[in-house]
Amino acid sequence: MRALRCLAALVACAACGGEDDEAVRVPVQVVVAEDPLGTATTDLGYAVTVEQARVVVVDMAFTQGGEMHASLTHPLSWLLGVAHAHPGHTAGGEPTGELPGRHVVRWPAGGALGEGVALVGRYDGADFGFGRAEAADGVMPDDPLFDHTAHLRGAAEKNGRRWTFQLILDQDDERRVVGAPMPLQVTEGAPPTIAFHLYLVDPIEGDTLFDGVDFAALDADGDGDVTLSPGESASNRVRRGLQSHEHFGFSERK
Amino acid sequence: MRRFLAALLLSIPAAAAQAHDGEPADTPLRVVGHAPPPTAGGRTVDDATLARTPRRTAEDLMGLLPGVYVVQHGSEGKGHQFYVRGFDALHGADVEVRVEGLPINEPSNVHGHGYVDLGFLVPELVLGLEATKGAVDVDQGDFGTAATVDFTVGVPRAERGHRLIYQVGTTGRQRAVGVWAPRDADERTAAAVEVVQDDGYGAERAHRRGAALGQATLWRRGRARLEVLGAAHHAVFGLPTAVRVEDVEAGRVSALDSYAEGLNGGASRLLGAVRFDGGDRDWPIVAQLWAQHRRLRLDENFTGFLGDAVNGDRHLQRQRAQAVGLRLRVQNAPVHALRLHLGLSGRSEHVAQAQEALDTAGRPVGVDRDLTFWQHHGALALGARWRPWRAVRLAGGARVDVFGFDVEDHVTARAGTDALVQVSPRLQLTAWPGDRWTLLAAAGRGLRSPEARAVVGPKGPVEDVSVARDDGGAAAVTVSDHVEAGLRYEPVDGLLFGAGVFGVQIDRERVFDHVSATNVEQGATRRVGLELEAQYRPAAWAVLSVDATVVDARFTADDRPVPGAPELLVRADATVVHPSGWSGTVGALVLGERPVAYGATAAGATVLDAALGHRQGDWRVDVEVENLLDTRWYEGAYHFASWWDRDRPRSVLPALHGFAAAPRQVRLGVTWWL
Repeated sequence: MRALRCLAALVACAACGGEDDEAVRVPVQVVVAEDPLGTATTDLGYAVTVEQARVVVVDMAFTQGGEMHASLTHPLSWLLGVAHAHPGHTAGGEPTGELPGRHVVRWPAGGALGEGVALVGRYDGADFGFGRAEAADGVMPDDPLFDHTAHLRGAAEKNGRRWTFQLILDQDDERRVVGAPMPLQVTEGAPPTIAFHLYLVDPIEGDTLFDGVDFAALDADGDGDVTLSPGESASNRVRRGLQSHEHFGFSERK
Repeated sequence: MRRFLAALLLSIPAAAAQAHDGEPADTPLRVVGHAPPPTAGGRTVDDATLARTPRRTAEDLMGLLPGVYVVQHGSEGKGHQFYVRGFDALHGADVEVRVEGLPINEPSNVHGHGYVDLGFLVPELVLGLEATKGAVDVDQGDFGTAATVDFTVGVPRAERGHRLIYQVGTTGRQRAVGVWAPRDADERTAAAVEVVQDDGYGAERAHRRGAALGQATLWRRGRARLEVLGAAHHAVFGLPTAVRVEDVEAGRVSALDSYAEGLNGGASRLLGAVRFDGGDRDWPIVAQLWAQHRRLRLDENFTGFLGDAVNGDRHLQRQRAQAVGLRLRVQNAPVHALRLHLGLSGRSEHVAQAQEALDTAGRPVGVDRDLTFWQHHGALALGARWRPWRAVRLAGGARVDVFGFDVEDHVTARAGTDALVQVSPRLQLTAWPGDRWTLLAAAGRGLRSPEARAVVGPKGPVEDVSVARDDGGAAAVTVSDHVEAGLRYEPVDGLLFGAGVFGVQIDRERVFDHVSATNVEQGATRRVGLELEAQYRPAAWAVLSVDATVVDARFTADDRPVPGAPELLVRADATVVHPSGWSGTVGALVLGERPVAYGATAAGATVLDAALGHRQGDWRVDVEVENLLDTRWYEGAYHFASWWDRDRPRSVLPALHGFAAAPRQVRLGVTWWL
């Protein structure tokens, strides 16, 4: 009789095995940081001020832990091999939040980029890719950003001389920035607003986005206006900087 | 098939009647008592339970071990996934598995480090199954970070004799086994051939496999004995995808479906070993030489089109490996109450492995990995067992493991060599404060070798990939530190209660992550747990047992639970082998909720298995029912991103995926002793 009772108890347990529960998803608002981009002094001694920066980014993903293997379309996939998720993977680093779609990010004008979603947890980094501006993005054909990835406008000063500049650059479609710092705790019931930053100066290593760009040498006609087009050597220096997570960041807007 | 089943059913009573008229039923199976294990976490499964428990593979028998949870996230033929004491041991990364002392884990396997495939081990030839949980014995080697499981091969006395077994079951399963086990030979002398065909209980789960395993004494003189073991195995099997739980709940797919068709795998093995037992009473010696050829092919896709929206993420993994090894164990008792032992082992293996990206039609579209390498492992274990007083026994020692690699990566054109050394101390204390009480305590360090690929991986931070946490770094041995204490009480003969607590700390778990193809620092983890057991033998022909394992496994830094590992695991078994010829078993598994990565939870389950059999003379009929209650649950639950339905937006957010457990399965078997 006792054995039967035990068996009945076990059978009853079948009904109390709980349920399969997905992780809690929290809506997150992503906005562009409105802080002035400021002035950066480059390795060549130029004080560079960026008045406006516009970058077309696509498919933001927010990651928890182990940023080394965040992306399935890894920028170094040619070197590291293609990543395939597999049951049992628990090493971390997978995206657990996202804001999919195309966005023209305008610094320091600010503005909302949209509502994403994130699982509850502590976030360390963010990844995103690049696109080319289209009319559907609200960028008209007469806009210098049209059909390009980024457009930066500003001024550089050195030894009392001043140059205004415009810089246009393109990024490869498969290029992604991986591991932009995003120290953030996402908790249930307190949807955060995340601000997207562009840093002229790498906050860790101190190098600047315009290191190696000699504005005086680029001003061949001496009129004080410099225009850098995609593919030019100086444009490529900035392009490399904009491929690095070091010049981007995300923070919680309180 | 129906006609055959009908004929078979009609033949059973006739066979039984014939047996009644002839010789009486054989004596019941020997029910081995629970031998006092050397550690609190040590367990031995009796041969009656091994013989009677419904199982499809030898891996299923590992699920009888307390605190061990076994998952098949493919189909029969692919290696299983193991969970032990709060470890997600993947395909064997944290569980050392040995058969007759031969190492079965495959270091640096293309699919998973320490991959275990017991397809060659015909279940009828499993004579014994023993687990040492924790890393507390000096003989525990590579991959023994959570536990070591030892299988012994043979046929117990009551089952001996040559016999033929034919089994049919739901899902079109047919299984034929021939067992050679001369009655006048010892229990270790036996051979079997097994052939299995099964349509599988879900989509893409059909499989066919065959295995042959044999062990025999070639020569014996006094204490000296020369024994050979040989095994061959080949399997082809389908490979289902995991299904998204949200798709199942929305009715878009069934839990037993697969998103992709045509994914499949194959595995084969040839294994040979020679063992010499010799020496004298003062100097017993065991020497073993072995060689193995192994092939594995897995064509899988877990993520759909997430990584490659055009071709998909299907990929083919291939591995071919040849290994040779040796093992030597010498013991000596220089003085009364002190016994010393020395163990030496070595293994050298050449491996060629590759991973190709395939399109949906199975055509290669790229090479992700192409490696050839040598890997070597040598170990020296020195141990002593000392009994200073009659009621106290101390055992301890240390082992030194040396790993060597010579790796060539044909994709990155990198090559490298590396050598690593790890020293692991182990200590056990056993005390008998009374006739019926046993106190057990143990501590020790377990180890896991690095994968060969780590030798040619990035040695430092990869620019633009890492933020801070991971520093790349060189290949390193992962170690786990264990401590445990337990108490056993036997109030009357045949009744045993046991309780134990354990703790495990991994300060710096480093794994070669095959998502990123680099070394990943996982950070420190700790596991604390409680194990309870009770066993009762009301008669020589019956044994009842129940055990429970509760474990809390967490990352030390942020207290997150270690994903996948069940927090509660209860196993109860009742086995009867009556002298009348009737035998039966009922086994229950109670699985608590499982934390999955990033806060998701997989439901627990209670699963009952049962078997009933009757032996009459030279015939026995068995009916096995797996999952008697037809519980619907996900045996394997995971949390990752996938994109199968391209009409829906792509999302990189992880979602709960599962591999459904088998629904109720009924199998009927007939055994004929020749």
